[in-house]
Amino acid sequence: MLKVKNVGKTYANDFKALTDINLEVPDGEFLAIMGPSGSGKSTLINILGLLDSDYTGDYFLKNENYKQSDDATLSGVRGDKIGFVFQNFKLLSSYTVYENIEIPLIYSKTKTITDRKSVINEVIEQVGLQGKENSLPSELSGGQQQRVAIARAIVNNPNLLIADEPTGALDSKTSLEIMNIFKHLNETFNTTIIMVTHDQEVADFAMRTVHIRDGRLYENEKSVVSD
Amino acid sequence: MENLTIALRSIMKNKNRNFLTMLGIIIGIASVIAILAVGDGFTQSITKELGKDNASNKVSLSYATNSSDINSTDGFTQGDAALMSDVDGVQSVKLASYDNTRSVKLSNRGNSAKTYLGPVKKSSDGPKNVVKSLLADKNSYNIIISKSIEKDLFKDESAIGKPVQIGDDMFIVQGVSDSGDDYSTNVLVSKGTYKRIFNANSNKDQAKLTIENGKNKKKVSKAVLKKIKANGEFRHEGSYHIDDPTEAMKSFQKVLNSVTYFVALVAGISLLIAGIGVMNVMYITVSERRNEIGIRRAFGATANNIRNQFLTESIVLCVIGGIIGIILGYLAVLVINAFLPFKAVITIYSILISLLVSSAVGLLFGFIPSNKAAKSSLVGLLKEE
Ligand SMILES: Nc1ncnc2c1ncn2[C@@H]1O[C@H](COP(=O)(O)OP(=O)(O)OP(=O)(O)O)[C@@H](O)[C@H]1O
Ligand SMILES: [Mg+2]
Repeated sequence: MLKVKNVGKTYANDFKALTDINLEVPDGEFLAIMGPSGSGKSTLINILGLLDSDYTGDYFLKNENYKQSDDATLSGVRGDKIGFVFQNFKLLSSYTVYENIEIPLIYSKTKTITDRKSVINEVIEQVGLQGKENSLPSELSGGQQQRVAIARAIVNNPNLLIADEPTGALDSKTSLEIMNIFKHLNETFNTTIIMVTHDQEVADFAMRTVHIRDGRLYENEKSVVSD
Repeated sequence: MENLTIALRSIMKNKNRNFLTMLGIIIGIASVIAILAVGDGFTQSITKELGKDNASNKVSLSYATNSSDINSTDGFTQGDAALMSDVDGVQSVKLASYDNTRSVKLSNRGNSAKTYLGPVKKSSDGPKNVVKSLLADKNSYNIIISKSIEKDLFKDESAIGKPVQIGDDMFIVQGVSDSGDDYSTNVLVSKGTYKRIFNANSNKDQAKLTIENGKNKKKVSKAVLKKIKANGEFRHEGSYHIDDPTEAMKSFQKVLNSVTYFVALVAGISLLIAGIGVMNVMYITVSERRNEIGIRRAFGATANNIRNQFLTESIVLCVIGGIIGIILGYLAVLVINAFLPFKAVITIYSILISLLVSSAVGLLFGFIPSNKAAKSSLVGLLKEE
């Protein structure tokens, strides 16, 4: 369960990017955030993912308020409990598929090195990239790169998956493939997913969609539309 | 361990730029290795020499006069010698003079030259038969002069058989030696003549003791020193010392030390410049890899992990440079050894020092860029492409 109370964010140039945000996301929910460009979607999702701790108001992740936490704690939670998927994949270009997926394991305190191979092979299978372990990102299609990014995001079995426009750089067919992986993760592992998107078709995979306009959140429940 | 792999990968990726950065380290460390090798080699050869000396049973005492008059006759007297040989453990005492030359003025019909004069000692001092005759006839008025003096006094003529005036006495030149420059002994006379005419009032400022076998050299020489200090004839006009053979080495060492300081300064400067180069290249690496830092941070790397990653890279970069420097230093020592009177040696200790110094450079100059990488705002890092 994730809870946001009266959260506001003002950038250094006095720009108010978020105003009085209130949001609750139960465990296992698949939530879509929509809104025009510059409305504050990324700003919000960065706070939810503990990438940004410079905000006002309160944010509880599993009843834990990480506002005063030190860097080591925040990094630990990010590494072990949260997975990120970005619009432009953000893979390390000189690292192979296998090595990119390995990154969260390097910093995890819970996994020993001997586990790594089997865990990585497992997620590679989940995203359907068998045989591509030793490829470089440049040798993959956009959809395949995003699969690598998803594999990397889930390799530590996170409770929360944060995705900022995961299909923003993909064509609609590939987007649907990626969304099916998300849906599968959500249904099989009960992973909470919070996803920013511009695309209604993509948002339709979510259980619920909220809208942001000019830094304000508007909840209008949507019925679950799938398939 | 993970950091090491990351570091090596990143260094290999930018081989050329990193190699250029390493050059300063390589030169600095190579000089460090070379200096230490020369220093260690010197110390080792000295220690060997001293070992020989210590094994012998000879000790020498010296007397230094307080008087500024060079012609002062202060020193050890025969009485002092007798006194010293009475000390338990002393086998014999021989008095000698440190200074075995005299500054003299030679003249020959209007031409004159100022130079040093001393006694003939060994057969290589001049033409064999002349030296032989001088060694045999202690009161001879025959002399050997050097070529340069011959030229000064006789211009282009031969000096053999011609008279030369030194002070109030006339001498006959019997031989001309090849050796000699302005600072060496250019005129040689027989021992007896030297003593009689030139060394008459020379002071005996050195006493050479032979210690009885099986006696403690140090103890005996201390006892002698104590006795001579208390009873020496000229004890009020000067002071007595035990000659420490290491003393001479020490002055040698001083010269070596100043050379060492100079090379160390060069090494230090090149390491400093290298360090700045390392800092620069680390800044470049950090700014090139903001994306990577952002990704690692998002997936669990702490600021410390990032700092350590870049510090490791900086240290590895310097240590690789250091290792190349050690190899280069080794080659330099091989070359240096061709010109040294002793053998320069590379010790484990100097290799350790080199590795330590290069790591320190990496740590010191990598710190600020690494810290910058660690402290960057996460959201900012991820926003960049
Ligand atoms: N570092 C910053 N400093 C100042 N203003 C910022 C900063 N980052 C974002 N903003 C502003 O905050 C607002 C919200 O930005 P945000 O990135 O959250 O938008 P977004 O909804 O994700 O837009 P998009 O759909 O284009 O990604 C924008 O108007 C942007 O100009
Ligand atoms: Mg955005």
